[in-house]
Amino acid sequence: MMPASTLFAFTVRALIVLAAVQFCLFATPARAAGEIELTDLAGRTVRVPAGVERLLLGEGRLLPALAILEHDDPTRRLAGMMGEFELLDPTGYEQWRRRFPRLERVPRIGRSSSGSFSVEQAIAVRPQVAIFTLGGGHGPGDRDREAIERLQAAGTAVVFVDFRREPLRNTPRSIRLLGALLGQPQRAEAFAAHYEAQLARVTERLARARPAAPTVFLENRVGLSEGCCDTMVGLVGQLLDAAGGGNIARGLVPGDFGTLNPEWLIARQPQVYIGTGIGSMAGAERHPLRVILGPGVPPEAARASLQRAVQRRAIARLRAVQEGRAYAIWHHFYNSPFNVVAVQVFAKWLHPDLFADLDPQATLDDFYSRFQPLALDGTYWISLR
Amino acid sequence: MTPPADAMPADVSLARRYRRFSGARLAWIAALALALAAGFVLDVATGPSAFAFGDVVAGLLRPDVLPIDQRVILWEVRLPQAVMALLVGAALGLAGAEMQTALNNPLASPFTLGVSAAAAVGASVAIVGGLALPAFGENLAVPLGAFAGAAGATLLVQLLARRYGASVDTVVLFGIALLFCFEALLWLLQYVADSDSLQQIVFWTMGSLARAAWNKIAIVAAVLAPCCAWSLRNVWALTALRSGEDQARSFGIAVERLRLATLLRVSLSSAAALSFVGIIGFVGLVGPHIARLLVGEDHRHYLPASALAGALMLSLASTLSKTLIPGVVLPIGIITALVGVPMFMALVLGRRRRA
Repeated sequence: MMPASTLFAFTVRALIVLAAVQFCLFATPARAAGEIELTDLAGRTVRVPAGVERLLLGEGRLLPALAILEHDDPTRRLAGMMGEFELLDPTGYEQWRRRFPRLERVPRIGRSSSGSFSVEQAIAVRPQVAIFTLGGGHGPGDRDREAIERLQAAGTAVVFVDFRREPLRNTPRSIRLLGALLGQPQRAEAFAAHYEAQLARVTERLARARPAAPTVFLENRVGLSEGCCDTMVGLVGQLLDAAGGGNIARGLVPGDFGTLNPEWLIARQPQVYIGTGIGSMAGAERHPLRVILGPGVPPEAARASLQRAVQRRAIARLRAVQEGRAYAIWHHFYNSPFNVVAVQVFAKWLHPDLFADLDPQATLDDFYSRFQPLALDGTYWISLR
Repeated sequence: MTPPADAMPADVSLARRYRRFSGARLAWIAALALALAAGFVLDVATGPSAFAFGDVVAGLLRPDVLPIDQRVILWEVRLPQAVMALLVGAALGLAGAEMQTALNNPLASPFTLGVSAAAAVGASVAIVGGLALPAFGENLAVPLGAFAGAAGATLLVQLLARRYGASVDTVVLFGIALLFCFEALLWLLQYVADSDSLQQIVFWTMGSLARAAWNKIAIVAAVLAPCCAWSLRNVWALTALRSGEDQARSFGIAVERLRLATLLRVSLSSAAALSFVGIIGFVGLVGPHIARLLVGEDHRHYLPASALAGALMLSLASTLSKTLIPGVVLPIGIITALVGVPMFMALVLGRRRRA
């Protein structure tokens, strides 16, 4: 049962949405019958059939984004997808497979890298539209020109979305684009508006209060390699920036990623430690140094894994760790339409007084109950204490 | 083993000339050792944090005078990496020198017979398979995988060589074939690996001293020490082999057995060196050439000089890897080649100009 206030807010939003749809940025009236013209996130103008029935996903992890718009069954129109979801996030994939058993039978067009993408297999499943991601982290990307040309030659329209390169700007744009593509502009607008409002709760307050940015060491994929101190300024680093964090690697690491010298870290003594978790319950035995977060993870297991991870040599010497300002966040937020939740989590960790009233868990619950076909289950961030 | 007869002093002036000749070589070795000591001190004294040289020295002598942060920096970050650089550099230099002699080929190094590639395959299998083998507070599955790969490659070469005769050509050809085979296997493993494993393999194959720790240093040293002793016992035979296979045979040396034993030792020491730090190229190839340019090919001098040259190269590379971008660590495998090539070219060209 929906509370009256929420119902009211929803109705108002729906009305706004209906008005907004008239001026939708992406969809313009069709020229040929049954076709619409879209501008995708790579800035390309693409003509796609209205009422598309056969979709190809350039990353399996686009499924939650698809499900925002295809609430009943996001697998219904799936003709093929990359196979990286089950490889990178097996527990998360398992939840989706249990809910939508047909997922298992969707043909895979590659594994977890753009190199393993089979254009022949992709053409063979006869998709009308292929949804690819900018940069194509784990699937075909905008640089795979040959693959795109061949798909287009075979009659498949290629549309680019982005949740990774510029996550906070492009997530709502990508969802609006998918909404136009799938004939669900109202749902897309409802999500995008909600997303932007949730982001504004952090960015607007930061812009007003202008608090000093605490220095943060953001450890990339804790426990992946045996050494220490891999960090990033891209991906989750961008979410950290938006939350008013002072990433100590910014300006130091030439690309998106790099390895910091543990000595420098100890001398620098960042105020806050944040690690990204790629561990799962199933892999806890095999990878004892990883932080366990994500679907199906109870908070006790997550906290225990973080406590183990910060006992590593250089990390244990950080005063942020010794004084309990050590946290971990689910790594896959970097490629999730719910990335704004990570921004809220960071904001609360870094500026606890300023964001005392912010409840990221409620935000995530809300996103799930309104926009996902399966229940939220698991721990997506954890603090040392 | 007896020294060749013509090296015996025939008269007093010859003896004096030999002493001078030999003294010059010893002087070069001493110079290398001094340079290495300086390189090591430089390595330990360099880092991105403000750490006065006096404090470093004081902390080395009496660790408890330092505040805890500096103690950790000195004893758990800088020293293990510096010592590991010495050990691995020396092992690779020595392995390369012995291999170049055993195969009579100036291009030989632990890379040539596919030892490194095989080590990488072994490590990758452990990574992709997610094997775990906790011991001494470490997961030893990856280094053991690397070791098994390297040893397996050598055993394969040995087996084939025993069957078809351990002539230089046979061994080198087998080795090259194995190298390509293992590289293909490595690519295959990278292809089937998920992205996490792939990243780990890439990290491993780029080489890094960041993984150095005292328990690993102890393991590497425990393997290297007997290998060195074994090498030293063979210096005369190897010197004889260098002067030609037929000549060595005429001294009564079982050339093929010597070759196989040397290869086994080389793979043992290079596998031990590589298993904890990943692939570090170039040192094993160039260390011996630097030594040869300085002290010639009498293995009494050549082998220690190669080890010293290798250790010096890696020590300098270690310093550079942390100073090029202060605060960030560059993979040392990248640095060794980029630094080693100009150093080597300068040496070669300098020699040529003087000649």
